[in-house]
Amino acid sequence: MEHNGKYTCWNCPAIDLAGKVDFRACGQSGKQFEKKTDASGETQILAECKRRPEIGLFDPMSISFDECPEWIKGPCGYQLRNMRVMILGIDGYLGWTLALWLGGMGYRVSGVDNYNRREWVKERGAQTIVPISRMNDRLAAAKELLGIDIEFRQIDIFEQRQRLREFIEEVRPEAVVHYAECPSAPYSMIDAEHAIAVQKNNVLGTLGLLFTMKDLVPESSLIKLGTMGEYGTPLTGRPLFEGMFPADAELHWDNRQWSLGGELIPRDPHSFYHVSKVQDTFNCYEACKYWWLRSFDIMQGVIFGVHTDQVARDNRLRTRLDIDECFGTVINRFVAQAVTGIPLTLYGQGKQIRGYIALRDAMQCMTRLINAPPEPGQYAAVNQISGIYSVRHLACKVAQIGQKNFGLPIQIQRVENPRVEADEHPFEVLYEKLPKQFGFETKVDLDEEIARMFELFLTDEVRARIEQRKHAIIPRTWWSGIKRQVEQLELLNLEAEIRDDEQLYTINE
Amino acid sequence: MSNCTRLTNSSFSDEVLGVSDSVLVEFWGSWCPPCKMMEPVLETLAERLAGRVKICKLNIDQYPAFRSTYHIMGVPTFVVFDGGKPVGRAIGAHSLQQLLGLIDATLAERPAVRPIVEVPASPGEVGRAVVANETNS
Ligand SMILES: NC(=O)c1ccc[n+]([C@@H]2O[C@H](COP(=O)([O-])OP(=O)(O)OC[C@H]3O[C@@H](n4cnc5c(N)ncnc54)[C@H](O)[C@@H]3O)[C@@H](O)[C@H]2O)c1
Repeated sequence: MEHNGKYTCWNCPAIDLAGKVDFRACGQSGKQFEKKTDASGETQILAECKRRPEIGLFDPMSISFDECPEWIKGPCGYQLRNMRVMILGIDGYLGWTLALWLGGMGYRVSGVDNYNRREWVKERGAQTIVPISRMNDRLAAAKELLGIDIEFRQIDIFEQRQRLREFIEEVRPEAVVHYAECPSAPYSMIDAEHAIAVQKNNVLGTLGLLFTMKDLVPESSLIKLGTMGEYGTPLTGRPLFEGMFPADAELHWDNRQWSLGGELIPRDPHSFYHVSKVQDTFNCYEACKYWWLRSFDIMQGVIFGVHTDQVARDNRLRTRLDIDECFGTVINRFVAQAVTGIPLTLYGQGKQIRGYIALRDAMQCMTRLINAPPEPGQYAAVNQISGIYSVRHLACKVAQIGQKNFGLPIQIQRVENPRVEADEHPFEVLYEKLPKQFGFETKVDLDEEIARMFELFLTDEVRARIEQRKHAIIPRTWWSGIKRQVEQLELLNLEAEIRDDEQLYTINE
Repeated sequence: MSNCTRLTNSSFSDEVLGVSDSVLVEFWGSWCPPCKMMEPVLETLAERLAGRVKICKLNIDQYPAFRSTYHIMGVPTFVVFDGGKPVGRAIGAHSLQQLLGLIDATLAERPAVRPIVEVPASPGEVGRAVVANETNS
């Protein structure tokens, strides 16, 4: 059974509820509502279908996706035929990958970017180690090689709200994937200017988008990227639930008890960037509550990998990949360090545990969520990860694969931790919704993906680009405000480290 | 397959009013996070109480007239029906244990006249705010 077969028009973005729903009629406006209803119990919501207006008014619960001819079976559940998906941040690591991925599955993709990311990386004296083309060339290659037409506009979603509005009005997206934020914790910790720029861009860009969606496309789902880093790593060891407490989580105090069901779980972000994501969470949550928007808030783990069939098809279709201290993510950075002979850098103890997911698996998750829009007014959160690992374990993995498969002499070092974080802590996280409710299956094997990255990074072109920007790899940005390179604390005995690591992981499994 | 019965305008009288059994109805809305988090609990409850108490859900936005009939001022609101009459209610998210407590306490009393009574979610304990302002109706 497809995960969304029994969803009904109530979930579908093609529904038109305007004027037919008494928004938030329960509670505050109860009195006003009574005037509009007869007391016979016969009132119910009727809706229209924007795609098939000829049906007229009907009960939106009466047709399910598996019965509706507009929803067709695809590899990730039923999908709305030629569904219009707008990707904000389409020039980025994930945005570009998703654009080609969805385009290949028959979605009609449009997108927006202002090239912020290209500028930020340049400002840090770094570069994407996988060379990427200019947007025009990317678009032409997508058309020529994959037959995918992408409607693109260069728009700053924060500074140019009116232009975004016009584009949304023109396209009328049925789902909006919102990647268009600054994704870097260290970048937000450089100084006041950077912290303010990140929070302004992320928080206010998103806030403006929420208003625009309310005005123009309230029935479309917003698929907004948050991060697992919003939760932090509470030293109580309390599980990191998926956004909210389940109803069986009880608060016991003073001989009384309460169900915490539906309350947002506490956030303990790691940086001013992560704070911007927490603020987004509240803004999205409120917008759903006030205006009946529908949104998925995706608490995404750290992404690794470079491969999807589409991006690997041609050099012009490649997605970016960064390895500098600000914009590189950990596994990607380790592989780059291994290739250039820098000992892999563990911050502090290196026992930080985080959730991870491969690029390709993340794309599958996104598609499954796009296909399963939340109900009207529903703010839903998912933890989008496929496994949890300690940073030490990942370093050992990269070292082993680099040594065994590629004959590289690899070392691991502990360096001073420039961040303020617990480098040893309990960690329990729930990530059941995607597999259980949305049919997600992990397809990518960590070892294989690491090996694939080594292959790409060892090509002459990529290797040369890593060498060119080697200086940007070691962290210089301290949470305390200090500006100096972190120093080595210890060079680890690799064999002993790998042996311990293997033992630890065998015991845990 | 869900163990909870989704009610509609037309099925409400058959499933709830016209039966001699006990029924727990959750009045809920899709925009209400606590209601969403109740879903797995209600499923478990339905499984546990199969044959004893029927567990039903009614979406108050899809079938709004029930809001005034049953004075639903906030969601989720749980109403226990016995022989078609509402005999107990509680508002807000509840854990499985709390709902079992509500049902037990309500059905154990079975008073001769059955007014709508407010039952604290955790029986025997004071201090829980269960707000259902009946005097307004
Ligand atoms: N990559 C990860 O490991 C990871 C993990 C968790 C969450 N996320 C989140 O996922 C999203 C995408 O991440 P990514 O790795 O693809 O980052 P990215 O920087 O490559 O992509 C974001 C894109 O948005 C664009 N953008 C930023 N501000 C904009 C604005 N004001 N107007 C228009 N475009 C703007 C950037 O130019 C960039 O192309 C981000 O929100 C990030 O926080 C990423």
